[in-house]
Amino acid sequence: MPLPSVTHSVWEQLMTRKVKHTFSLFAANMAVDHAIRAYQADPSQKAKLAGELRNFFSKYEKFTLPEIERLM
Amino acid sequence: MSKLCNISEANALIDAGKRLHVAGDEGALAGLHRGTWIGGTIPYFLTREGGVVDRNRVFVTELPESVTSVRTALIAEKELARVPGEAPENGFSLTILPGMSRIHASYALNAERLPKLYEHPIIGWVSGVHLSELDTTKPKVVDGKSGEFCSERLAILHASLPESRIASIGIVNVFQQGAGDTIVFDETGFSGAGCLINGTRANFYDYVRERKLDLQLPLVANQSGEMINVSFQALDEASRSVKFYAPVLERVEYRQAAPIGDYRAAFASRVKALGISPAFSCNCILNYLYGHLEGKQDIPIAGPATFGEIAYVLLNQTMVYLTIHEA
Repeated sequence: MPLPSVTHSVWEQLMTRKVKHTFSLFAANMAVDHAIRAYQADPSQKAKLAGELRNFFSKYEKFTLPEIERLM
Repeated sequence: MSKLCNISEANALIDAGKRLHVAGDEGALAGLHRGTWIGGTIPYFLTREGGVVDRNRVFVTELPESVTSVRTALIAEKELARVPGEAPENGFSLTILPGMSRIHASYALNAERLPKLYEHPIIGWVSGVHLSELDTTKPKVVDGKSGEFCSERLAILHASLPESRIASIGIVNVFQQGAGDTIVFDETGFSGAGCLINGTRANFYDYVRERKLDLQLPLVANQSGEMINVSFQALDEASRSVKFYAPVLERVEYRQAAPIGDYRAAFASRVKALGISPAFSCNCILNYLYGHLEGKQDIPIAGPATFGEIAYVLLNQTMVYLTIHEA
C-alpha cells in the first residue's frame, strides 16, 4: 500500500491530535509534534503542514509506513 | 570504530584518508593533521573502560565504510538554513556547535523553523571545556580540512549514503514526566519566569524556591511520545527567573522528571537494552556528572560527554545515537 496522498485525513488527524500515536522513529514523533504546535499557532497552515508531514513520511516509509497504515 | 586515541594514532587515521569525527581538548585537537574530519573541544569522554577526563588524547569516530562521500564546512549564525539545506538527499549530517556562543543559542531557538529539518538526519553535540575553565576558555569547533578553530560558527560534516543504506537517529533519556504540577511558560527561551502552573499564573523562580525542587531532575515535555528534557542551569535571583541549558518552548506542557533512584544503573540499563553498535553517539555531561560515570564501566556505548546534544534540535541530559540500516 502506498503512502496516503497529501489530502488524506490521516495527516490532519495527526496534527490536530484526533489520532495520537507514538512512532518507533524518533524523528517521526518530533516532526508530528512540530506540526501539532504549528497548527495550534496558525490553523490556516493546515494544508502546508500536511504537505510537510507527508514529505517527511515519504522519506522514511521504510520505518513508518506500517504504522501509518494502522492509523488509517 | 570509535575510541580514545593518542595524537599519533589519530594522525595515522587522518593520513590514511579516514573520514573522522573527533572530540578532544583544544590542545590535543591542535596536534592533528589536516584531513577529512570535524572536531569539537571537550575533555570528558565515556569509553568502554568507563568515564574519563583526558586532555591529551582525542575521541575518534571513524565514519562507516558505507559512506560514499563527505563534505565539511563551518557555518555562520546567519547561514543556519544551510544545515538541513545542504544535507545529502540520503545520508546524515554530523554537527558540532561551539558551546556558550551566539550560534549555540540561535540554533537552539530556531532549529525547528529551518525548512525540512526533520527530513535529513542531523545529529551532533555542543562543544565545551574543562569545568574548571568555564570562565576563561571558549569552547570551539574545528574543520579538519582547513585546521581552522572557531567559537562562533558551527562545524558540519555531511555524509552521503548509497541507496542500499538509510540513517536514523535515536535517543536514550532515563527520565519520564513525574506526576507533579504542569508548567506552561509564557515564552520560548533559555530562561523561564512567567508561566501557568496547573493553569494558575505564577513565577517559576518563586515556585522552584518554594518547592525546593531538585535541580538535577530536568523539566520534561512529552512531545508526541518522546520525553524531551530541559535541564536546570541556575536560579537567577536578580531577574527572578530560572536559567536552562536548552530553551523551554511556549505552548508546551512541562512536568519535572520523576526521581529515578540509582541514576547510573537506570542509564546503563536503558543503554544495554538497546543492544546496538551505533555509528556515532554522544552523551550529556550532566549524565556523566549526576550519574557519577567517571571510572565506571557499565555503559556499553562510547562517545564524548557534551555540553548539549543535537538530535535535529538541542537536547539536554540525553544520549543521542546514529544507526545505519539496510534500506
